[in-house]
Amino acid sequence: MYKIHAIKMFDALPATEVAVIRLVDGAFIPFDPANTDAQQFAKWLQEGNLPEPAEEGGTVTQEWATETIAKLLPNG
Amino acid sequence: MSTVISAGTTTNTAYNVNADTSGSLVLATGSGPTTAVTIDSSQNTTLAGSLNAPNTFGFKNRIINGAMMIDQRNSGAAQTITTGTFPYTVDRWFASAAGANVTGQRVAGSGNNQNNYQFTGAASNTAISFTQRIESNNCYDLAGQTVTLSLNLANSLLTSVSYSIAYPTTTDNYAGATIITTGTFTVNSTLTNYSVQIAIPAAATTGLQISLSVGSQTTGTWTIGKVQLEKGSTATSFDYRPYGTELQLCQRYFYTCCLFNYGTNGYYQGYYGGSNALWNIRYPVQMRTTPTATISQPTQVQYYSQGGVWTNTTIQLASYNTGPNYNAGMTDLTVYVASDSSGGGKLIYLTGGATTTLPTIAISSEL
Repeated sequence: MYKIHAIKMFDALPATEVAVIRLVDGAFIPFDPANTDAQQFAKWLQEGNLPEPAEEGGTVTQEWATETIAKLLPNG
Repeated sequence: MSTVISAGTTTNTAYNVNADTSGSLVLATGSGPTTAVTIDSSQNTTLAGSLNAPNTFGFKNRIINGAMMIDQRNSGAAQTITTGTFPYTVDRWFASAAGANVTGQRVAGSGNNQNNYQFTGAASNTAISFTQRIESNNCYDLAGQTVTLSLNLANSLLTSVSYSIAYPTTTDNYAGATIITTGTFTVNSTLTNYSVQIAIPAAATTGLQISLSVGSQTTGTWTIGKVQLEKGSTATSFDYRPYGTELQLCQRYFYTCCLFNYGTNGYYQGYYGGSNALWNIRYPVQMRTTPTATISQPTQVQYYSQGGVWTNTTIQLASYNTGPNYNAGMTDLTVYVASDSSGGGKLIYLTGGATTTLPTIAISSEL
């Protein structure tokens, strides 16, 4: 299971998704296709799973998952 | 004088031997001929020109931490290898177990062999593996070449250790891989050096994976040391690198640092404006890629705002700075410490919080 991690660096800027948190150990995983953990996250998305949203009450869409898979696994 | 064997450039000097009883030998070439190699009676060799060999000099070993000395995660403590997981053990090496958990540990060697890695079997265990993945940048030139894998092995129970060499389908991405070759070493309980030659296919420019495995290690120990992968068809002596060099090679893939001091005189950070307290971590060497960061004891943190009070908080990751920073080639990441609305221009102190267990960040860009 994963949860999107977004943070507001400065008051004037909107929150930015900087990582996904692997809930089993709290690891912060960057959205970098060369990161092995990010590759495993993308494969988990490919299996039809969705992470928890960054904000309580928020939603994570299938479009977000599709874009993320394309970014993290550009070669499929 | 010496016994001289010469290869000259004229008919009369094309091949000539002048022998004496000095016990030393000279090989001479070219017009003259001119001395090229001198081997004295004590077997010391002197070269007049340069030496060209595929694997004689520094960094011939493409395996990092082949001597099992660097152990940033466990510092020599025993580690449980839980079935179904692939935990990293000593640096750069990850393990797996099937059937039953086993333990693994860096252990002392004997003689001039400082360390080995050793698994201890357990009832119902059916397999153990021990694997290192070599970054493509460090083995690209091996594609299309013959390489030699050499290593020390011992097993107090089993007589076979299998090896498998593979390369990933996509550069440094092991979601898919092609097996190059597999084989078996016949071993015994005495630590012994073994070697095998492997033809690396021309397509294997994407990295290499070296995996060792045993079957049912239901008791006893499996010991591994001095693993070396080098270009060429001869197993040469183990490539000893300086400890600091080997550590930095490992830190490209894994690094752990303690964030805060315990007590009120902890590290501090000047901070001006805004409402967030941020902490930058500078990597000792550039990581292979943007790393995964795992914070231990994230709630064991307090911060102090000048003129304020100690406040408990939880540290989180704030951002990755992946591009070259103000020190060329270095990158870092930023940790979010706390939000404080007491106004700009404050100085924030950080401590280890309520316990003596200090928060650390493990930073990993392993393959």
